[in-house]
Amino acid sequence: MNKENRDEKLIAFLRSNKPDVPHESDNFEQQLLDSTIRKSRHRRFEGLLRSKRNYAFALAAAAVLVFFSISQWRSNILKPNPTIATSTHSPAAELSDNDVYLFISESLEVVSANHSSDIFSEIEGI
Amino acid sequence: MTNDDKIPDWIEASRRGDEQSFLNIYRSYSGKVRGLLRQMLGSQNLDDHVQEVFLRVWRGIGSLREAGAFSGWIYKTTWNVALDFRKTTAHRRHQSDEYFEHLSMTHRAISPEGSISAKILVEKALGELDFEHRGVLVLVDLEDFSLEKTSEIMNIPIGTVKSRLFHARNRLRQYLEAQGVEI
Repeated sequence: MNKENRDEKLIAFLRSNKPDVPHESDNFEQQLLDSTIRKSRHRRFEGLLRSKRNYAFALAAAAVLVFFSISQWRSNILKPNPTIATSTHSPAAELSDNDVYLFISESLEVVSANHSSDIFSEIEGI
Repeated sequence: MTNDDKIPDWIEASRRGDEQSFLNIYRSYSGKVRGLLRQMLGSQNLDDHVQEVFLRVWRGIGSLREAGAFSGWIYKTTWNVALDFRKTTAHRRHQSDEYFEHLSMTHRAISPEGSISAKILVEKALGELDFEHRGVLVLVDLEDFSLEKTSEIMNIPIGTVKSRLFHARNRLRQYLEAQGVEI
């Protein structure tokens, strides 16, 4: 008997007496799906943290954002009404009422030189 | 349309996270994968090993370049799972000389009624081979993969496949003949 024939007989014997393969457990497919779902969620989370550099950058950006948000919030809490603050801190607010009156009067004199005197009379009446 | 024709569609759908398509792939390949792992690692914890294979498939299917490569890739994954399991456990390696020194020389004829014992004999014979030789013999002789496919799955040259196959067959033949099996 040549080698090829011997090999064929051996292979035939092995294949006809292959060890039995046990069936999968009843809930195997469900377990497989549960594992794949868990694995894919874990994989997504891992992907976000995979690059240390990206992670550090994101963390720094988040810290800056939080810092500015808190700073803005504190400024809004401590700062009085912006409209009032503007009026009390503007250069014009430091002038007395008399100064304002004089300023307006002088301005109107200029205007009245070019326009009807009736306008000046109306202002005097305020 | 047969299941084989639908596999590329299932692969594409699985890439998008379609679990039903992934299950269809599992059902198409589980028989072969299960058989491979059973011959390589035995029947203990077989479900765990099979699950590990398909978890790796699920994880890696997105990076598969083309659907046509899937068949080779899943068997390669199966081999790698078996290899990784072997590395994490302590396996005794039998050298042929040591093995035959302790071999019983009683001759038992295998009768048709004793076909179950023949399966046990084959299982014992496979267990007597070292992992790499068993892998080649299982893939080529038991699971009918070609030499080229086996070379690709095990990531070894075809010459190495042939060499290991030659030695594995000889060892198996000697063992079986020593147990009274006439081949």
